[in-house]
Amino acid sequence: MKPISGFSRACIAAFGALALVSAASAGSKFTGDGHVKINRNADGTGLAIAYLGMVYNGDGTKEYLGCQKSGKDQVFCHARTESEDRVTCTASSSYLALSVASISPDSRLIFTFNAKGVCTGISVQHSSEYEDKQ
Amino acid sequence: MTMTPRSWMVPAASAVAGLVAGLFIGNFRGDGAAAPQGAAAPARVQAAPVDPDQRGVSIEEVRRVVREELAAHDRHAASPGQASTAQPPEPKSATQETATSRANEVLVAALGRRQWTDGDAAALRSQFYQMTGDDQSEVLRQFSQAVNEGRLTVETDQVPF
Repeated sequence: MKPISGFSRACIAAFGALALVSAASAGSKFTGDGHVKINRNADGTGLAIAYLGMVYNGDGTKEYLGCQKSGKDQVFCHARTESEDRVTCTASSSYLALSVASISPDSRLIFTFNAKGVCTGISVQHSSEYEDKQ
Repeated sequence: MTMTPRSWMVPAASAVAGLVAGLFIGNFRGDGAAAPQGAAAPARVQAAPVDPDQRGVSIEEVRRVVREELAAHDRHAASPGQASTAQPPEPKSATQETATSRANEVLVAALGRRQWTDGDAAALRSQFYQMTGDDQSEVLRQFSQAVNEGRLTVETDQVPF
């Protein structure tokens, strides 16, 4: 095997340093796992939350979270965790339908529901800290 | 120059008469400029004549509008949650009725088994888009409530309908 010359060593070191500098200056990143989480309250209300890009890119095989809307502003949201806990909700609301329309592949998505299975809120957050679907 | 008592009384009487005449004329101008401050001014304003054709809205019209608003308020209070101008829902077609009935049968059967399977999802999907929007919402609401309360376990990996 041919020994690595001094010049090559210098090039590798320079490339490594450049990569480190690039990573350090790429902006703040979300450091959580981004998995689907479901919180249930004793009164039947609750919420589901996930980072869509991280769930898609992650190593989970069962979890998902999503919302859909029909042309009549009918909204349906559902979520499943890796442990197969599930929640769903529905609503007829032009206001919530607008939120669903703003969902993108790298959103942080939260939906809340009441004890009757009606969606009471949908939060769609976008940030440079969240990773895109790959 | 000296004035006799008789000679100074004539201009004094003339001045007093002029003052009284001025006050009298001022009272009839109607702008209140010469009116004394107090209760006399409002009384004169109230007595000011108003042409009925130029008032815009008559007292009777105001009373009629108030009566109508009160009657509308009473009707609304008698039936809370229903607007007096709400249109009655359109009657469902036979297809919509049948689809809703079958969707409810699917849901009831699944609740009896406490399981929502691929077959249930397919069965609901085949009826879902023939139902009215209100019926779709109600079926999904019951489905969601049952899932969230743990009365229905979703066993399909696909969308539930």
